[in-house]
This record gives sequence, C-alpha cells and structure tokens, in this order.
Amino acid sequence: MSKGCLVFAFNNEKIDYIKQAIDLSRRIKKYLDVPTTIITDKKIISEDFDQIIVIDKNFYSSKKTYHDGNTNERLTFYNAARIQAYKLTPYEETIVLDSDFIICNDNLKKCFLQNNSVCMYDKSFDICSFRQTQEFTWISDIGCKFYWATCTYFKKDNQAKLFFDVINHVYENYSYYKRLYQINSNLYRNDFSFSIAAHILNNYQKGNFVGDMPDTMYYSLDKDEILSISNEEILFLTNFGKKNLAVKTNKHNVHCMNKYSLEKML
Amino acid sequence: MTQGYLLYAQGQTHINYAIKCAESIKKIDDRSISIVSNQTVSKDLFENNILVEENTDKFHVLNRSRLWQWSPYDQTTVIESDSIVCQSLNNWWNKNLGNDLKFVSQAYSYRQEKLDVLRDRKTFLENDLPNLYVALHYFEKSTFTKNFFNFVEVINTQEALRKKLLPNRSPKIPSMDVAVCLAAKLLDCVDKVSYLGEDPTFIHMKPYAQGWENPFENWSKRINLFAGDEIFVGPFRQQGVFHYIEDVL
Repeated sequence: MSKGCLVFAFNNEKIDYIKQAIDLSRRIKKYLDVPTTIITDKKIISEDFDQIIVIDKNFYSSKKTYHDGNTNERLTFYNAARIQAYKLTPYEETIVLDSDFIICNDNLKKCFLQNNSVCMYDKSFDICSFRQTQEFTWISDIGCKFYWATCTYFKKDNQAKLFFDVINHVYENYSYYKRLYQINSNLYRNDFSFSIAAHILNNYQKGNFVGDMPDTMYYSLDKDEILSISNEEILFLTNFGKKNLAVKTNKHNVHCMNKYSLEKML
Repeated sequence: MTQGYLLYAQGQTHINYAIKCAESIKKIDDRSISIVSNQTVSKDLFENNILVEENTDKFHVLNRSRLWQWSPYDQTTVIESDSIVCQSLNNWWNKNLGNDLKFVSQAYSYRQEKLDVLRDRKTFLENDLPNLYVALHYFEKSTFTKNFFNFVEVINTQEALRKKLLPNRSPKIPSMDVAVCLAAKLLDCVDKVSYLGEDPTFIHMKPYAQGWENPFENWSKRINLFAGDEIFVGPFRQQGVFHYIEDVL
C-alpha cells in the first residue's frame, strides 16, 4: 500500500503557502518518513516533493480576513480544492495537511496502522489553555460536531470515496447547508463541509463514521505570534484580550493560524 | 401478565399531545395504550380511557402520583404525553421486566450529548438529589411501587415537609421529578429505581441544557423542528423518546 501526504498550496497576494508546504514536506520526511505530493497552481521545481500536481486555483477562491496579531487585511483564500483530495492523491493511504500544520513528532505514523477509512481530529487544544471557545467544538451554536479538515487521513476505498462525494455535494450546495446548520460566516470552510459530511454519513446523528486521529492536535490562533521554531519546539506569544503570555510547545503537532508570523520563521 | 403504555393528559392541548404520542408508539409497538384524563378521549388508539378528577396545580402531581393505581396493566410504561417515540422500546421493556420501578436516569440533548443539568436542575444539585426523570418510567404493580408513590404523594402534598427535606432550595410548586428523586434518596433505593441503559435515548428539550452558548427561553425559537415520518431538530435526526416540552407539533 502506497502511503504519503498531500498538501494544497496556492499563494495569494501576500502569503507564500508554497514556502510553508516545502517546510512541511521536510518535516513529513523527517518524522513520518513518507513522501509528500503538493497540489498547487504553478509549475515549481523542488526536490522536496514526490509529485507536483498543478491545477487551476481560480475556481476555488473567496475573500478572507487574515490576521497578524492585532492587524488584519482581506486577501484571496484558495481553500476549496481540498474537496478533490480523494481524486487527486497518488497514494492508497493519504494524510492531507494544511501547509501551516507544524509536525514535531511521529505520532501521525499511527494513522497507517489503524483500520478506519477516514480519520480526523474532533478534539483539539488551544496552546493557551484558558481561552475558552466553542468555536472548535461545534461548527455553529446549534450545529454538529466540529472536525478539523486541517489534518485528514483517508484510504483509497469506497468509504472514503463516499465521504468525499458527500463533501463535494455539501460544497456544491453550501448555501443550503450553511442555513441548515446555522453557520454565520459567509466564508466557505473545509472544516465545515468535512464536518457536515461526517454528520450526514452518521445518519444525521452522533456517530463514528470518522475515526479518531492517533494524536493530540494543538492550535494557535491568528492573533498569536510565533517567536521561534526549532525541530521540536515552538515558542509563541499568545494573546488574550489585552494580555500576552509566552507559551512553548515541545514535541506537539501545532496548527499555526498566523500565516504571516509562520512565514517569517521559516 | 399484561403490558401496556399509560399516558396522562389533562386538558385538550395535552390530549392532543397524547394522541400524537400514541400514534408514534403504534408505529413501533403492538402493546396496548391507555390514557388517564379528566375528560373522555374519543380515539381508537386507546384501549382504556381512565377518567379522573381534574388537578388544579401546575404539574397535576396528585393524579400523576396515582397512575400506578389506575394502570390496567401488570407491567406499565409511562411516557409523558408531550413526547414522541422514535424507535422500538423493546430493549426498555426487556431490561425492566421483573423490576418494581424504573425511571430513566440520563437525559440527552438533541445532539445526543449528555444533558447539561447545571442550569436546569439547581434544586437537585443543591439538595444532592439523584437524576431521575418521570417523563419515562416503568412500574409493576407491587407493594414497593405502591409505597414509593404514596411517599411521593406525601412529599407533594405537604409543603412544610418539602421545605424540611429540601433545605437548600425548595420549589414553590410541587414537582413530580423533585418528589420522585427525593423519595428515591430518602427510601435509599436510587440504584434500584434507576434505569441505566442508553437504549432508548431519552431526549429532553430543556432549552438551557442543550449546550448552546446562546439559548432562548423556548428552544423552538432557537432551532427548527421538522416532524414527518421522522423527527429532526435542525439537522439532527432524533431517536429514542423525544420529550419536546413546548407546543411545537
């Protein structure tokens, strides 16, 4: 069974997602020892990738506010190509990762040792543990369980194909599902379409169509700054209200949402 | 041994609820259904229409404490009329057979999460009462059942006693849930009367217990109900016994 990681990277006006993807692919090689395929919109030359697949990014775009600490700006966000992950992956077992996911241990290897067709994170931890939010528990106040599309494992089998077929259906009918699940944001988010697909395939109930990831995922918000990154440690300046707190993670995989800050550190 | 469902309804609104509840039971079970009411209910759904005097208190605690007397069955499941049965209750019956009395002891939100009772069951928390729900219970005609409900009636009819037994917080209006939980605690029979199974799921639509950051006083103003062959609350398909508590059907 071929195994590998898939990273989608489409640069916008300011953010160099390809640079992030290159760093991630090196970490994938170091910690997971599997190849990485990049899905992007331009021909690039890099020995860091097993395959480089070029697709049109313009079909999948929306405008999003990018935060960098206390400042922000509206930029184009090319995120929805992720729904084609099943079709595009060259591997029989795939971990799709956001380019801003920093791998600091080999725990994700365990994905390849379990039997679920699809695994995602539903539980995650803010690196600033006392910031309370339901934002990553439910997709909306009344909605279904939140799954992170940030890091998704799937096998090339009928179960996973069905999952991605339903994700594509949700994407194509997003305005309907947005209303049904009372999602307030106008921005299309893969987290939401993946979560809704999981809920639908659980017969619109609580269920276990999607298996648990074999690890704990931490995340930092886009108002947090990254002060340094080494192989296994990341130092953050977290923000809550008008206060700041330095937080260091050690051997934890962290989803870093402040793209500007991440780029500066790579 | 005879088995059946017993519904209680006082007033036309609750009779309408009871009819819908009985219709939902009929879809999943052939067991007999009877209704206890203060008026005649002309529906073929009910094998017996047991007429009782009207209660004037909010929760009709006297009548509801005496259902064990009026039940025409040896083994009875009581479901509150503002409920819809969404799945087979065979597991409920099988697990309860041979027991004197069982109350469902775990309620769930419409998302099938364990109910957050911190806001809605303050009387229970402050008086260290167990969590039992009268909305779905089972009894067999026995001395234990008789003594239990007689004690519930005593609690509900003596305000001074209630205040003494519930020193930390005592409800002004007698409540069946409070009285049953207090009786179970004082008779030291909580384990005996608690139904611990997860099948059926008992869905309780208390608006402040649904895990919402922004709850409304009426859950139906926060989220839609779709009631057809199946029950959906928003995008969630309901299962088990769905206790909707508001006039939504």
